[in-house]
Amino acid sequence: MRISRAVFPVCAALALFASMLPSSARALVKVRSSVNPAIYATLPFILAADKGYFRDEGIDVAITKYNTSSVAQMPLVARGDLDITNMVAGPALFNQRTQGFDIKIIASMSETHPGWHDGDWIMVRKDLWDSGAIRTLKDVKGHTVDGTTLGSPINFLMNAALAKAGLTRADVVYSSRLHTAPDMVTALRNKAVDVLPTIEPTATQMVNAGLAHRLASEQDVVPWFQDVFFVSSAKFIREHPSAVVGFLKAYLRAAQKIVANGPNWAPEYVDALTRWSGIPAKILKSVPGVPYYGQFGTIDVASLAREEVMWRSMGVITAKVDPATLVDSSAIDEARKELGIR
Amino acid sequence: MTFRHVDRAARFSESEQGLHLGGTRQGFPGIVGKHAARSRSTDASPASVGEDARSNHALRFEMPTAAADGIIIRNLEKNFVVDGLVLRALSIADLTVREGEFLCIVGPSGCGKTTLLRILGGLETPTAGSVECLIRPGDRPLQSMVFQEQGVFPWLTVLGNAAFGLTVRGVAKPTREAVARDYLRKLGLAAFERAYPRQLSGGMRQRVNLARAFANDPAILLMDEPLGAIDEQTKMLVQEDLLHLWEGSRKTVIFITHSLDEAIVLGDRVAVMSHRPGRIKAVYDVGLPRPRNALELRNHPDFVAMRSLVWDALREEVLSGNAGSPEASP
Amino acid sequence: MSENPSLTARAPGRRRRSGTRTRAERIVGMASPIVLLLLWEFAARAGLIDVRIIPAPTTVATVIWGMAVHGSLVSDTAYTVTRFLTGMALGVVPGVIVGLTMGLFRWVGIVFSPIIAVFYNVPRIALFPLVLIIVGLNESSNILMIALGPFFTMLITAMGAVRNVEQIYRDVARNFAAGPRHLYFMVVLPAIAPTLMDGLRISVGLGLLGTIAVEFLVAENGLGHVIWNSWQVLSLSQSMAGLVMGAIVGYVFYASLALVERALLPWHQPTQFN
Repeated sequence: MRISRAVFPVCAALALFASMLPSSARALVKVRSSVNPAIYATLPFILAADKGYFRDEGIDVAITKYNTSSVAQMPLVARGDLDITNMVAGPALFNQRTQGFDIKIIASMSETHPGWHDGDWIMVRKDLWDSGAIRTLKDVKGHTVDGTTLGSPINFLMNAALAKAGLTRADVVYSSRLHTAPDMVTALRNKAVDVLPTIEPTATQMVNAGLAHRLASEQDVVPWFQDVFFVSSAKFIREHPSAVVGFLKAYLRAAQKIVANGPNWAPEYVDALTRWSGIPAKILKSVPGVPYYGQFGTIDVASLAREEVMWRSMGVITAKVDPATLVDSSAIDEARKELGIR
Repeated sequence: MTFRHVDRAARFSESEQGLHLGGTRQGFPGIVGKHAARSRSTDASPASVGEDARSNHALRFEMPTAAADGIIIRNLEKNFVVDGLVLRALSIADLTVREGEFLCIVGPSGCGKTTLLRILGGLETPTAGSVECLIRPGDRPLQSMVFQEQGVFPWLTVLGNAAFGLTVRGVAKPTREAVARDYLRKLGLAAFERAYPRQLSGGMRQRVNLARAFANDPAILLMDEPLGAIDEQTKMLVQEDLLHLWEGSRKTVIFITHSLDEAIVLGDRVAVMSHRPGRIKAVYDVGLPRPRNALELRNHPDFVAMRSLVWDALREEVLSGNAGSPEASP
Repeated sequence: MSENPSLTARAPGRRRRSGTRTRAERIVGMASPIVLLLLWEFAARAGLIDVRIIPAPTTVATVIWGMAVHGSLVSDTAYTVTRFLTGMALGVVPGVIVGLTMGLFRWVGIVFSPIIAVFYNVPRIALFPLVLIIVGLNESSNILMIALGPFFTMLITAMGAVRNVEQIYRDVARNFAAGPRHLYFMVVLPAIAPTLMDGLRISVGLGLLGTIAVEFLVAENGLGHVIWNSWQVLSLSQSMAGLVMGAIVGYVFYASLALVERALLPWHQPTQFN
């Protein structure tokens, strides 16, 4: 009969379809997150979303894109509008504790590693490098330095670099006026600044445009520095512990994959970042390499402590904060255990 | 009107102040100013042109001395262009104001009496016709206007306002303040000399206007319904003040009012204007003796007779003015 | 000639009219902000509002004190005030002069009005990048940005005021043969002074707004910088402290303006809250 002949393929198709559904009977847990794709410390996160790693862990991650500093996301986490998101290390993380908010660092996202290209750089104006006026950090003395946005990782880098060279802000002509990449590029062009810190891919663009030369990197100045973390509110961790673990597991899988691929750009990464951030592939590919992603996510409390001292000396932190109170490593430890990583 | 006009007017010397030449547009050659050598009128009869037979009936108790002609207005016309239409506001064939007299002009609303005064005061230029002034003011200003109460400057004190005319003429401070003070005292405002106009009532503000015009000591005073906005009781008091100030001075006054009573109480003669375009319909000699008591005069039988006489002429204009349509041409 | 005093105004001097307040009104006027502060304090202590975001007034006061004594709040306030005053001066004075010129001389007004109209309607914040590129990232561009608001406001106010001087005042001046000097200084200027004052009040508001906005964006000091930067590092109580100081500064300027108005224009009845 005709009908019986049709039934078999249909049943087969249905069975096939059913097998593709998640085998577990548990419902997907919704986790609200956000990302600024131009900060490409977030590459593993984007990749994990693209490849469905979150879904594999039973998590439906809702991602909102933003294009400002990650600090602006902090109140959203505090209010409960966001569950887990990435956050740069900065005074805001410490001050929120003083204010009475309870946001926790749950994993580290990026750090330096020999052989991998850093994401943060200190640049010197090309003509000053070429003339030999500034070749080392000590040579910066007496020159015009812009620390960029107060409290940002590159701001930290700049001040740490001065300290490392035995200089204080008083030894240079210090200002804090440049906040965006266009500001920095214009200042270099107008010779309004001699030395400044910046992130990739802006650093590469400056070099390609003949405006600046790389003077020092994170590895040269603060190799121990962890500059981007995942954060979540204590409340969310308390109420959805397994969702946090699952989230971090998905992230770690992607980070491990990227690190395993080595320090160079794979077309897959360029493609993902371009799609998410809109930065042209050409520019991304011109950056000498992929930064090192914390494939273990371990939080270095000592790094936080040293940071805290610096911010307090600059007056951006209102009260001393014990960094250990900011950290909740339970989820990342569990995630590593479940994945079988050290 | 932009300030350019004011600039030009302001540059006139005092002797040319206010009186304009005629026939600007039509090229009518108009007669210049008041120094024209012209024989004085020998007209012994106080009656002037346009008067009809009934005015001879005007009662007189005192024959005015043969008054010399002061201002001779001939064929004065003023047209306004409103929304593309030409509106004829004024069409005075002949009006002679005598030197030293108090001439009241009455007429229905919109008849052009304000326009006439503004022409005399230098604020408008006539379209055609001439105004010839034979009065010689010497070093005094030729004319000053008494404006309505909004014309008082809110930013000057009462004294400052009263002294304004003298100030802009460069009179030294002690002198001008003394003169202004004198007139303020005569008008009962002495206690308020340091007050600002916003602290005064409407009637008092109007007195400030009077003080300002009188303090300037012009030969001719032009008053456009100065007491219009004042309540009845205050009005009579201010009329008294006005008469006190004027009687005995030799100023020529042209006084516009819509109140017939007021015109007769104050005036030596009353000119009745027709509805627009305004013509002088008739001029009546009031003939009531001076000095006059503004408060008492209204009950006098001569006053009442005069009043009914003038009202006859006026009423016709008021009524026909309401019914008529404006003379307009595109 | 005597005047019955009861028919007329009282003698000159301080006079109670509709603009000034009775004693009771003054007391209530001063008490109401105090009551508001008390309610706020109570709500904070009782946990009715989230003190992490909106601290209690006493907390804010403590923070302000701390910032003033140990921090840079005093110098920040000084920077803001200086920027504001400089910007105001550079905006108001040229604005009034140009506006008066445009109003008094017909053809100047005709020629420049369309140009002004275009620039006036561009949101000034949108002009900021252009200003930065032309003038550079320095204090001059800051002051220029602050001055733009008051400049246009005073220009338009002055131009309109001069054109709208009451006809009757002009008639009086003309009739009494006032020369140009007397005309402009005794008649036109006082006549437009109240309008200029109103424009100045608006300009103060715009100037303060511009100052704080510029300090948000590019400055390294000043109250706007305090507000914005503290927010960036999530020092919310410091941000609030900056905000309160900004409000105090703004209030002081408005109050000063009221005093200036009373001194310069004693004859005028201001229509504002005092």
